[in-house]
Amino acid sequence: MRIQAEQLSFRYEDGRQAIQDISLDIPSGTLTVLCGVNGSGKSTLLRLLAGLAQPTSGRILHGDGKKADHRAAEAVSMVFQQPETQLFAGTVHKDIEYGLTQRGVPQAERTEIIASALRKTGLAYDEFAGRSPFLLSGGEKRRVCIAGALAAQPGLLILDEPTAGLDPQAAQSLLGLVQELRRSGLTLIIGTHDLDSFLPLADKVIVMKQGAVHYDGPAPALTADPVLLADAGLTAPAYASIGRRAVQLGLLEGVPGSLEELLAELEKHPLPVPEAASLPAGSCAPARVISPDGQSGLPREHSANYSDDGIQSQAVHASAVATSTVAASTAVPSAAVPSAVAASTAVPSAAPPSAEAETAHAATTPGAPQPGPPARRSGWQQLDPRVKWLGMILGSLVLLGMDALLPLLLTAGLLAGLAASARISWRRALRFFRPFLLMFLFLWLLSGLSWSSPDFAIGPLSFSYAGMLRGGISVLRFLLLIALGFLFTETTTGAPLREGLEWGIAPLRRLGIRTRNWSLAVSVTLQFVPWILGKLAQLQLALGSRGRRARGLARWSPRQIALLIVPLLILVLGMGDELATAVESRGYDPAKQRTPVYQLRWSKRDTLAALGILTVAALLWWTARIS
Amino acid sequence: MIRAHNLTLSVREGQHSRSVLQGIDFHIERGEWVALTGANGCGKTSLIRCFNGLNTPSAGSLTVAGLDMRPAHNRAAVKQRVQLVFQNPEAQTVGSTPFEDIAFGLENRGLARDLMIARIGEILQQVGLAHKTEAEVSTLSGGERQRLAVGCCLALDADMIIFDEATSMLDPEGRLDILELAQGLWQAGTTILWVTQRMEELAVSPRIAVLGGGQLLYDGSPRSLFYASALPDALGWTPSPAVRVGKLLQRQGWPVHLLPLTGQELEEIL
Repeated sequence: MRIQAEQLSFRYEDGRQAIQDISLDIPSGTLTVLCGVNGSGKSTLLRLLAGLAQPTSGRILHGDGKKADHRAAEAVSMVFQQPETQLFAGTVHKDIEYGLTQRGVPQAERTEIIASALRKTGLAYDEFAGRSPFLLSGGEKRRVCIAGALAAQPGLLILDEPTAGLDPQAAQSLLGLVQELRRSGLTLIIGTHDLDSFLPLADKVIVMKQGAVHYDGPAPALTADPVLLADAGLTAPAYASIGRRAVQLGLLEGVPGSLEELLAELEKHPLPVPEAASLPAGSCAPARVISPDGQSGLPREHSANYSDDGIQSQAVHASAVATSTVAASTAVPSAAVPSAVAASTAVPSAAPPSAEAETAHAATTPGAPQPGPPARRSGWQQLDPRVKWLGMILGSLVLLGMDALLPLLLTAGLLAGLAASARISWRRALRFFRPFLLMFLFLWLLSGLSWSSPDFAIGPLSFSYAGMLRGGISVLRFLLLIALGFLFTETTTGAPLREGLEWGIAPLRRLGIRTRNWSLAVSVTLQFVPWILGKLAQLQLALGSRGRRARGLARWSPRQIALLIVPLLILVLGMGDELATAVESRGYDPAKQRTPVYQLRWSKRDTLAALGILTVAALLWWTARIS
Repeated sequence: MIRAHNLTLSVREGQHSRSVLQGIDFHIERGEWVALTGANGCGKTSLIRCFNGLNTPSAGSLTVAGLDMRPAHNRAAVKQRVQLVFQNPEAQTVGSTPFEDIAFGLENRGLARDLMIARIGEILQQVGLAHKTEAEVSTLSGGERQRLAVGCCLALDADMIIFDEATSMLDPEGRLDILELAQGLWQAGTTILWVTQRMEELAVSPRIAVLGGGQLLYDGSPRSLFYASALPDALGWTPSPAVRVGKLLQRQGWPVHLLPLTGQELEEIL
């Protein structure tokens, strides 16, 4: 399927421009490679082409020249980078079936389609259909994801980093799969960093740079010009840079289009075998082979350059480790190493420790005379975490006791005011609350249903005002509890939160309770709320790419949420396991004495804040009692 | 740093016990850089978990940093001296900012507060995250998170750092970034065990150990592995472009010691 883009632009929710004014024409049956450094707008462009996001301006045209609407976008399938965030069901069969159900494919036809899609990706239906997708190897998971995309019989298949994270063998065989798909006539767009593997297969390459198209054309013209890729921050494939060097030396006539071509050319035009003595000193690979026992000493000659001078260290390239000759490694200016990176790895270890400590100090505590933990110096950040804990606990208790609208609305107003004073942006708050809103709306409507004494009816459903009020109050109460927690975690980082809690539950230690474990668990869990929300968004995007392009609130329907639960749980459990290992290997021992970096310091303003909290809580409690 | 003799590890699976590592003889000198490779499921992770005390060998002897790894208290002591940087950049941060994350390890060591704050500043500088001291961890890139994980190893004054496929989930820029950071530490004296499946990362390691089916299949230089051993072919590896060109040159009569291991070396040869 041919796909065209006309002057596409996209802005993020926070107003930043992701891509601007992109026009493309991708012919049917071709393989297009899309590359660019992180942040170049590559992923955004792929999502727009897949219809998973809507451009701020510009339009996308499909084969027949019609503007792509939601239904037309379903002719495009997309497979994302991490298979972990795009597998949902208990078996491979059910996982692929989901997309078919969404597209209204009759039950009788599904098994055949699923079997055929699996076959195309090299997986036998009999062997894999009944297995859990979560227990497959990385390469197999990737194939199941691609099979799921193929089952929809797309006109265009978009693959985002299909080989990333795979071991070399799995990556190699996935490359074979891509070639087969290309041969079958499918139109493919592949977003990748792996230019060595994919450029030789490409009919067309699009290089992105800072949200715009930097290059759009065939691969050979791109690799023949070293500047084009370097300008976009990318490293040319090895076969191209080796080939270019060979062309300069007159060994080859043209830059080869793949490694195989390069090898074939070099086979035809063999390099003269060098006389060992005629080689200039230090110009090539080390003659010394390091013995396996490592006793011959290690090539450390260039370590001095590394630490002495940031500029020189730029030339210490990845391969320098193997090169025991300093001259060779430092003489070649390495364009591949961004100077900022090199400069930052070169540690000015020569600085005296005291000076270093001072700089560190200055960096971490701007303007603070006493050494202290870093703090975003907003009023909220300066408050003692114990005051905030007090506010949260008292607030939650008062909220739980409210069963009238007036005090709840008062609290809502108060929380909104507090959020504004803490400078929490609306977008951030919205992003946090979105997953809850539809569920709560659904619960609210459910509580309003009434068969016996309805006040009004919508279609077959009848509702009562009293029920809706009751339901509304419960729902609002829960939302406000969540809002309170949100306000707390948004204004408190992990360490103060933990210290505050540990102080509060310290008396329990006498009962033999390991308070350190508890405070650590709570602070780490709260810290992972944004992570969970991020994963949830990824899962949703993947789900969206399978079936209908759900928009707005439809993405939070109970059915969708039910599908997201299992993979999310698996991700969270896996994360918990890995984190536990990380915590343990950092020398954590709940029984051992510890010196907290964050020190609790109660000041006058904390007393004032505590008094304020007590007064407000009392007033709200009183309002709740009388209303 | 590490001396393993006839190291064997079996794990119980229900009624049976399955042998994971068999008769491994392996040693790493202090200050050495060794790459460890092998296909998924070959026992790499089990082996490195023996090295930092998370696994206990079933037979054979293992000493790490001069400590016999049989007694539990020695294994506990080694855990801090031999640190791991894991594959998944997201699952290694305990604090909510880089400052707090580095602090976590130092707090556990019971360092005085002033010293701790100074040390955190030093470490963040060393791993190139000084400008992100107070950034929310969730806003860091994969490469930055791995830098932070390296910083946490430094906070515990690790003698040896094991990078367990620490670059496999990063983009090319992030991969190079972490490799260079590790090389800097190595040059400053830290022992590095670099676990990887990437050919170009093997090629820059002075010494490579290949594990397969729970056994040590190769232990030697990259040059003899890629140009004098049948193992890469037997294991179905696709060598890096530089080595593939090198193999062609080898067939054309070039001596092994002149053959390239990396693209840069190859360009120099040409």
